[in-house]
Amino acid sequence: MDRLRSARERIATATDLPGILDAAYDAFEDMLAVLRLHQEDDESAFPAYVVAAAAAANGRDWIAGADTLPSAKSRDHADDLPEGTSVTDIAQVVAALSSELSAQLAATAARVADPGDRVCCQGAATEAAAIAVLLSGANPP
Amino acid sequence: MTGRPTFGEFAAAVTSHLRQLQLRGTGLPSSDNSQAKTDAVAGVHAAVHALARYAEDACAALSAAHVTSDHSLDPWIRAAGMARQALTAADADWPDEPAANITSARLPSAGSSVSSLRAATMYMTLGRDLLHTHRNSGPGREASDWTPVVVSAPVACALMQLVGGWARQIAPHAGCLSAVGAATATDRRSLNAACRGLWVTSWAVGNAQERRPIRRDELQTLAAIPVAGLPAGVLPTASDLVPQLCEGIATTAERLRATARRAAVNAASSPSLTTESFRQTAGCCAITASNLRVILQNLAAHHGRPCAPVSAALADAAEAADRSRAAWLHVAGAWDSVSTDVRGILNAVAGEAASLALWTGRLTYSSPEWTPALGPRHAPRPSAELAADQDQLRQVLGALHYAGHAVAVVAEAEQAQARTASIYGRLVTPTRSLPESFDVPYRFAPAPGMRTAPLLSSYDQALQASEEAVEALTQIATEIRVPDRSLAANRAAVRLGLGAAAESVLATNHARSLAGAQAAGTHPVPEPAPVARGPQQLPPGPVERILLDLDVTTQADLERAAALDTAADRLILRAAAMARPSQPNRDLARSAGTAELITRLLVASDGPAPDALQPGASAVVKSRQRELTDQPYRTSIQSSARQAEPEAGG
Repeated sequence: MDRLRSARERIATATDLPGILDAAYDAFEDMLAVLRLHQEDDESAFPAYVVAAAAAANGRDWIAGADTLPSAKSRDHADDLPEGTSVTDIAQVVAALSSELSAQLAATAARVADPGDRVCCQGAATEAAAIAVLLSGANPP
Repeated sequence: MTGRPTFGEFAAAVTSHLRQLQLRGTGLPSSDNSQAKTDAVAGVHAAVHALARYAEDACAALSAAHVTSDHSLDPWIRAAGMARQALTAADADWPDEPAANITSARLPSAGSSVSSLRAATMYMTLGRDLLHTHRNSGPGREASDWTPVVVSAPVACALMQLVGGWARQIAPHAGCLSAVGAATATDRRSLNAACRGLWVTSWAVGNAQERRPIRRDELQTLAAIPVAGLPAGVLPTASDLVPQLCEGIATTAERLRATARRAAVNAASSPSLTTESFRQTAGCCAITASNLRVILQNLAAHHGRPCAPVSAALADAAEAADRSRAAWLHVAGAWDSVSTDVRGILNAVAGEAASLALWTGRLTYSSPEWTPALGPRHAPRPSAELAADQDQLRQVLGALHYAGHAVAVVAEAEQAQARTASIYGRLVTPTRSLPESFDVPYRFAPAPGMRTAPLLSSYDQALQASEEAVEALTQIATEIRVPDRSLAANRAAVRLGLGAAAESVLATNHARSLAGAQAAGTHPVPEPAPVARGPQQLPPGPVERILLDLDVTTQADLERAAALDTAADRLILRAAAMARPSQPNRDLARSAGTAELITRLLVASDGPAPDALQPGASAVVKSRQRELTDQPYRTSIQSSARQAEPEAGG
């Protein structure tokens, strides 16, 4: 869970466009990995996790298409995945992250000059918002 | 279950009206009503015309079967050929085309024999129109799942059996009309030709039926064929109960199947072939399979009636659905690292897949507002509600059958699309996600084999698992006789062994073997009217019949009469064989009596009959000419159905 929380801090503190896109790319990747890991933990949460994971992959691809995204090496995602945590807790953390991400990307899209970057930010913001909607109602057992 | 008209409904209406024709007797027009006579004669002409078109269709389908050297169908191929020739010649014997509008201003009075025949003819025409909605596929038309079935040999044989029965029901009416009711000499001659054509058809079909009987499941498959076209897409509402949910699942599943197959055709260049679509479709298929698993497990654990007899099969199907769910999850996961060259569009398949996930979720869980979004834990719908009684259980399993089949079709279509996209270089991956050894100066790079191979492999597994799940559902559907067997009948037709044309279509559309059920549904399956017996069991000839009418029962006398009839048959056949080439205007069947006798000889020959016994050459020539300029003798299904309602109600 620390990884998701740190991703959220990166999103909140990023100021320039490359930094925001870099943090957004990693945030989507983190959410995707977490959702895939726990999608079968609970039958009731299964549909939401599956659909949210697809949205996370779509959001990452939008960011990957932005010209301003730094071509940094992708991080190793094998560490610090939140095993043993309830699907409710995970959903709340992912929903909070995606909500923050959506707001940041929407604000960035509003001020960015490059049309390509703007479209990518808008597309990614939509996907992040979808994740937040899917997971924000989490109160299974 | 899909709420569309089926061929069986029209065929049953035909048989019903022809039974009325028989019950009412000929009901000949009075001698001073020439218009009524004209109408009566025109009614026979229209019926013969409709039957001739059916025979042509059956011939076309069976000729394809003949190519495959399926000799078990030879009797039916011969019967269809004889019927086609006889009916077409009879049709051509009329000087004019049949009236296009068979519900003209001069409507016969309801309840008369003429009105019964006209109503029957209308339903024949509508039934054939319905079958042709599957044949007229082309640009702008949806591909039909049923096309291979419609053009299949077993269905053509079943169709011929109906045609033979209908001809048998109409023939006495035509004969009596010729004997005492015909308005003119020309009418009498045409009616005699019609009588002969109808009898030949009936006898030929009867002969085929004796040699290779039509099975009930073949008739049921024919009856289950629905009109082509897709039902409108709808979303569930909070007030939907189990029956409405089942209906919605069947409708959405059908739409999903059709859209998936259509999308597979244009994968190479389609702008809607997007990662978002692939991902959503895969995820929603996993959710649908998961929903099926929950329902099936729920029903399997329901120990009371009506589930008990099939509880083991339900448990097996639940496991198969779970394997399908897992396989689809692998597909979804494989798309995490692969993208397509186009983004930002959700195609119709993804939309329908999401809709099916929603419909099945509403059936699976008690909450009337269930969605895939995370919320309060949803309790599964109680099994007692799903299986309140046998009918309810059948309805639910029928819906699951539709949903499972749609998921399998999607697996096949999406697999084909992914392969095409791979071949055409449309699969890419974010450069940032590749190892540093990949030096690519673009945001996206062609997806390497280490990523596309698992993706394509995952579709293979999803297809196999989905087909196993639908196979398990098909077996249950067969066992408990689900209410709508359109789907099961379709799949059964595939197993029945179709004609060559059908097989070639299936090879592309259905790919893997679709093992399935024996059709046993509740569609109106018309009971074929009895046809005349085959040549080995000829009816009494004129001498024997007169003795029977005189209540003669002495065996020796009857055998003597039969011998005289046989001797007469042989004499006529020998004379016909030695006769000079047919004179254009010679017609041996000038009266109803001679028409029946000639017909008897034609059938007795059980093969090519002497030319002199065949219909006049002029009629055949006219028939060929008419074929070239034949205008569709059809009316729209909707308008004609409306016109037919008063008669149907009467």
